[in-house]
Amino acid sequence: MFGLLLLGALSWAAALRATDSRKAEIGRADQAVLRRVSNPEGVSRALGLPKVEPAPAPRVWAHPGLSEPEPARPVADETDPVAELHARLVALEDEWPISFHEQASDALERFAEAAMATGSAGPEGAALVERLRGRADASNASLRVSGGLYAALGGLGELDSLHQRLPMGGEAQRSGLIGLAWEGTLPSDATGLVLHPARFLQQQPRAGVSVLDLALSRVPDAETAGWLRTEIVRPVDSLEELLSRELAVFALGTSVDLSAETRKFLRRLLFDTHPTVQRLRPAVSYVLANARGPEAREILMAWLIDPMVGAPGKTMARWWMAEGHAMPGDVDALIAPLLDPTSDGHERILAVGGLLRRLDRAGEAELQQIEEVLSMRIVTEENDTARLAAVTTLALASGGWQRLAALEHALRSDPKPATRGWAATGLGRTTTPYTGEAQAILRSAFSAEQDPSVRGTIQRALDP
Amino acid sequence: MDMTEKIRNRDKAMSRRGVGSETVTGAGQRSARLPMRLAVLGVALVLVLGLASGAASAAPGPVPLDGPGPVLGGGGTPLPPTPPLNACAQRCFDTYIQNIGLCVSLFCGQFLFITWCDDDEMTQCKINAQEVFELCLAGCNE
Repeated sequence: MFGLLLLGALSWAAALRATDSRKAEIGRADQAVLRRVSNPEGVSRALGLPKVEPAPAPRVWAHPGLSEPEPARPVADETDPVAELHARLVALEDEWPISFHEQASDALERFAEAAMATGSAGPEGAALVERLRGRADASNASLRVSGGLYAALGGLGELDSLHQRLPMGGEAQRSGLIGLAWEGTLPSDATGLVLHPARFLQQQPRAGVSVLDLALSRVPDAETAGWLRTEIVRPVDSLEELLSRELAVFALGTSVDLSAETRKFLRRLLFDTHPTVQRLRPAVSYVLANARGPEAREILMAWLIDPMVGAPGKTMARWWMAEGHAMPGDVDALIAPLLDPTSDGHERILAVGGLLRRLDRAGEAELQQIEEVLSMRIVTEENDTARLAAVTTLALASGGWQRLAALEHALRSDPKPATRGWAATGLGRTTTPYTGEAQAILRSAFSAEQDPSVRGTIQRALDP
Repeated sequence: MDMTEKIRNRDKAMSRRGVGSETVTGAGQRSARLPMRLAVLGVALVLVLGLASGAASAAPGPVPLDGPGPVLGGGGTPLPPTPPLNACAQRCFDTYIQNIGLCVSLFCGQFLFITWCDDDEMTQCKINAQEVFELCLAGCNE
């Protein structure tokens, strides 16, 4: 009897163990799904938020190596933006940490923008702010994530918690700077200069460090501006510190059009030839190149033409100036490397790229200036790549005899098929009164051309 | 090692290198060939390995040609629409700049006041970037 009872108990325990083991096997993968289904309602109730319905069909967690389906998110009451934001944050938190970092960036950007529109009034807003703050403190590993969360706090006007982080180092400081300088959804009459640190970092890589593409535009108050100036001039010994200083330059730079003091400070930085200060030149020139007022542009132009301050930072400054607002005298600065016999091929390629960016916004006199310098450069340029760049830009520009002669020279004599191809395309785009002449050049070149791809391009140019 | 730790370690390794910020200017690099040469080569090897392992992590890679368009500064005033051929050529220039930036972050370093580059590797990297640029422009015109 006792043996039978023992046997029964053992069988029961084995069955339980098997079930537990199976549960653990499946449950580990489905844990997130189960949490998502069971959690939001309770959390929402605890926070006094409207009821959040679970996702209609719980998804099965994807196996490693397989593409993961779009995560199911709790469905929120669409009429309540706070509830929607909260539900989205809960959905993000339910992901595994790796998934959080991978997926959060896009969602957070939208989240932060929406948070600004929501405002922080009422108990729901307070709960949201509390949750944001907790989440931001917990995600120290990625500037994209914690910076986005702090930006959301900044958008909600919760500046005190950001101020507390400014004296800190590393991630917390950078996240605080982003949050402090982020205005939120940008009104059309935004007073601060709009700066994009992500765009800056795209062209000045910081070895894998990236930030959310949030435009900074909040003008700092006097106390914060003073702190930022102190922070910027502290010595830089590492890449992390450099990024912190650059973000501080951007945070201060939002006021460049409004504050003479800020312009004076940035000017002093730009003209300082001390090696440690020179490292901030890209950030300072990025701010000045994007400024809307003529005063900031004057500082930048004065620096560009001053040979005593040295070359570091000037090539990228010209590039950013070409992207920024078109102002009188810009083209003079943009073409300078093309007229400088000491410039290298890389500088000239970027100078030509800057001119390409300006074609759509150049006046008639500026277009003539561009035609003249590019035509001259095509004939004298010894660097093949720089010559291809010049031919491409001239092909896309308008012009007269000089343009025609330079493109003909490239089509007949350039050793690179790609360059000859672009010359043919440019001749094919020639407008009246030079169309007939351009067509004659193309027909003549077609008979002499051996490369089949260039022949094809000439044919297309002759018969568009 | 989880992904967060990987990212943190890689970032720390990168920050120890102290990559200079003005190095993309193409004119401001000074070379201190020796005695730092061997040390630089060693660091570069570690970095390449670090980047290779980092490729599997959440670190952002080079922006592809068909990625998001440039974000323009200056009050968000939209520019007039650009014809496709212009836009294609502009993307080639953008990619060229990013690739040169990557060359610099791989093969140049900075410590306190000294900036140095591995000249041979840097030269080859720039040549590769220029080849990519030429192929890109040729592709736009096909």
